Amino acid sequence: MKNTAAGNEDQIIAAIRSGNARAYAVLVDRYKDRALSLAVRLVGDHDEAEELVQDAFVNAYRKLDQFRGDARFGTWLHRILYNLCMTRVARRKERMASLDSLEENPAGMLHEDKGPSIQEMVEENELVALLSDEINRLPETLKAPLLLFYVDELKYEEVAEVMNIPMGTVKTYLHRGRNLLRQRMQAKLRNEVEYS
Amino acid sequence: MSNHMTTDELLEFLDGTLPDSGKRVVEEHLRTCFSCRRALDDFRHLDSSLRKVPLVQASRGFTGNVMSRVVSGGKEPLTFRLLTGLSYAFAMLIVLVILGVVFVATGVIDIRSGSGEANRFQSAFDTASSTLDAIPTAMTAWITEYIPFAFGSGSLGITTAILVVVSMLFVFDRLVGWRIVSRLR
Repeated sequence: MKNTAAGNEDQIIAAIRSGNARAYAVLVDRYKDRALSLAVRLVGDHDEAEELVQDAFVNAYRKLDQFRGDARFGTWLHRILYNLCMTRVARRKERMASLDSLEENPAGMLHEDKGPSIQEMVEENELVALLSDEINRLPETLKAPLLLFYVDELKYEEVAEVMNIPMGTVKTYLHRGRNLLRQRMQAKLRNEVEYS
Repeated sequence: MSNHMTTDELLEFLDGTLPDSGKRVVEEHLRTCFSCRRALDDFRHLDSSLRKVPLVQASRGFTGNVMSRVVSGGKEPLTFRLLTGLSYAFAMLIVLVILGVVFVATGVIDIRSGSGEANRFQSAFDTASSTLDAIPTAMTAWITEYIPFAFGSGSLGITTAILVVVSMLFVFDRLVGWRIVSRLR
């Protein structure tokens, strides 16, 4: 059963399809910040990201007839945007290091670790700021699912649809991303504690 | 053999996606393992903080810009397209004028047969020199002699010169990526 927001979305889309183009502004307002948050972190430049988000909204509007309504409009929009961002990133020919080389211990066994926990080293608001920064340094393959899942609040299956990958792969990427973030935060915070 | 859980097991436990049997194994292990308990706390803490990462705010005119493109059939607004087209035309004109100046200054083109304003323009170059070394002097002559000659003196000349500057701004905005005009839109 669809929730109220999705039900409301159906009405908006029906209004647009019947000729009320102005109704689209409601959807733009609803999704612009989430979409921009994803794009900025994927392409790394605010102005370029805003341009891509605009293009995604315009493309979504022009292809609205192809929108079947079995997913949320937001998921569909994110898929268009994700493809635009990936095309832009690929054009820059940014070479990504292999995932395993970036992880000290990719989803493997935990080592005996007697250092302080992250919670003991940093306040939550400071951790949020550090994480926001650290996410930008993740490889695209891990960054996108983390952003879609945590920041854009999509479900596993929606992330899989946006990235066009199996749900199992989404879970693997999310595990690797979280693990890598933990390792990097630990290293960073322990370094700071040592030198303070 | 390690005495600890894998990070996959801990994350699945945290996400509640482990089957009951797996869940019991992890719970049992956590009771006696400080390292895994702390790792689980770290992941829990990271999860909660990741959900609080602030959204990036779109600029104030964002929705308006999208809607103007939507209403105009997905294209840039007509005025913007006209100005952009005009800017390219002006840019080409300026390139042609500069080439003309260089050709005249180096003697490739001889406009001695002209009269009036054109002669005044030519004589400025004649006094400057006909070699490439004299181009800076020739450019100065071009600025003082040719701009009033090309655009006319008075308000018409000033308006045309402003249009040229604006059009160049558009060209650099698009080609070099300054995005000043895009920001103003």
